[in-house]
Amino acid sequence: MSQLTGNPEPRHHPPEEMLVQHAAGQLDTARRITIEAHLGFCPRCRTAFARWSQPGEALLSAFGTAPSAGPGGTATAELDPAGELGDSWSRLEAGIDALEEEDDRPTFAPPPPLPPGLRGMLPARLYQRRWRRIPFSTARFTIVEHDQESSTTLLMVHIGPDRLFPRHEHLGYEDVVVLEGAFRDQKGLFGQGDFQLNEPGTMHRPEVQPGAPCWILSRYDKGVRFTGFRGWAQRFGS
Amino acid sequence: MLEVGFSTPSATVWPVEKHRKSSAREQLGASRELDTTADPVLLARVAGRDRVAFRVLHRRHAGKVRGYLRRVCRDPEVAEDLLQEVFLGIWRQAGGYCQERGAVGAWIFGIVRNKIFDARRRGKLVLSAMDEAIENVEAPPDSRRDLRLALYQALETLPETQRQAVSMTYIGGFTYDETAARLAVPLGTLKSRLRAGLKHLRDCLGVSPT
Ligand SMILES: [Zn+2]
Repeated sequence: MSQLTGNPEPRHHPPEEMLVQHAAGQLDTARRITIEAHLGFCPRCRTAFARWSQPGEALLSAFGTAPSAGPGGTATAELDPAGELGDSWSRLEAGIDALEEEDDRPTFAPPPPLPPGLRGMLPARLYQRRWRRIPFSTARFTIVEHDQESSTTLLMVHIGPDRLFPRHEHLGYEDVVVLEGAFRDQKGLFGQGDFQLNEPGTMHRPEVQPGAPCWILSRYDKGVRFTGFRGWAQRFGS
Repeated sequence: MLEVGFSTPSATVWPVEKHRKSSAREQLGASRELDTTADPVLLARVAGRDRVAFRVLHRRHAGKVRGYLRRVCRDPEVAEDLLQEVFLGIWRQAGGYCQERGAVGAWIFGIVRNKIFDARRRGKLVLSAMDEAIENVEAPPDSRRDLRLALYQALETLPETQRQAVSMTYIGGFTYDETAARLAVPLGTLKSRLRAGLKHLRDCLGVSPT
């Protein structure tokens, strides 16, 4: 059981290589968020990730103290006895003051449960952004992040219970993380915290399970193409 | 476009305590009392918007983070801006830390690495090569500092090819593509060298996350 929600632990995990890349600070913002969302729900991957990020502690200490001190530098070098960090703290406090307390909820549904800390990685006033409908579908989505350089986009999507998400083809890679509810497709059942990686050229039509809406995060690098009569809507995401 | 009607947050939303603002003097006094409090406890309080705990955490880690950023970035002003971004990130993401994720220092290092990556994306960051820094890591004079001694030994025994991969990407902040190009190796080779190098480091540093 997940410590956080009482739901079963995720059964679908990101590849280990993505955890290594995350530990090495190599992930774009969108994938960092999908991976962190999964980690928030998945104790198994948190432990695996901790192994890859563990050297960071010693490296930060070793390279963060004065070069002459090297890794044997004294603790006082870190503690800033001269109070040089006072200015940094004042500036930081001003920065925190500027982060307003948000009253930010979607108007069409209760917000999805987000793992602790994840909200802080998402943009401010997320739910007050424009939430568009996917044509001929009850699904709504908003663009959380878009990186022009890598043409990577992160969407948050809400699909009502017992609904189909339109059949679509992946032009590039797509990561999906379920925040709430569950969907089923040919790869199986994906519930809260599950991570799905879709390869270019694959196609699926996720079917949301009855009883609860499904909230997902979807990160794609080349967009998706709706097939069938929704094909005209392919502007979405491309 | 949107239907009306606010709903209450669902029951599974994690509670966040409202932050309490206190005077600077109060804060400083209280923060001294927390000086011996363990990092994970401080971070849990930061997640509850406790500024006093955050101040202690800042005092404890900002020097290292700044030192590291100054080494990696060529421009000290950029390093200073990144220091701010790192600590704002800690403030905003504190709830995401739990002890399963290992030491707080490693978690902070993750945020540092991401801020470096983002700054490079925005094109405002020129990195220094860390190869030399990693070559020049000295043996700690005080063997009681176990972690650093272990790190020194780990770096000493790291095969050259793995050391390059670790120093450029994991420590230095260069992307996989840049590193692979500079070392003139395929991406797959770089990835496996990095994994082997990190395995070596973590074996030397002790495997069990706290
Ligand atoms: Zn997992």
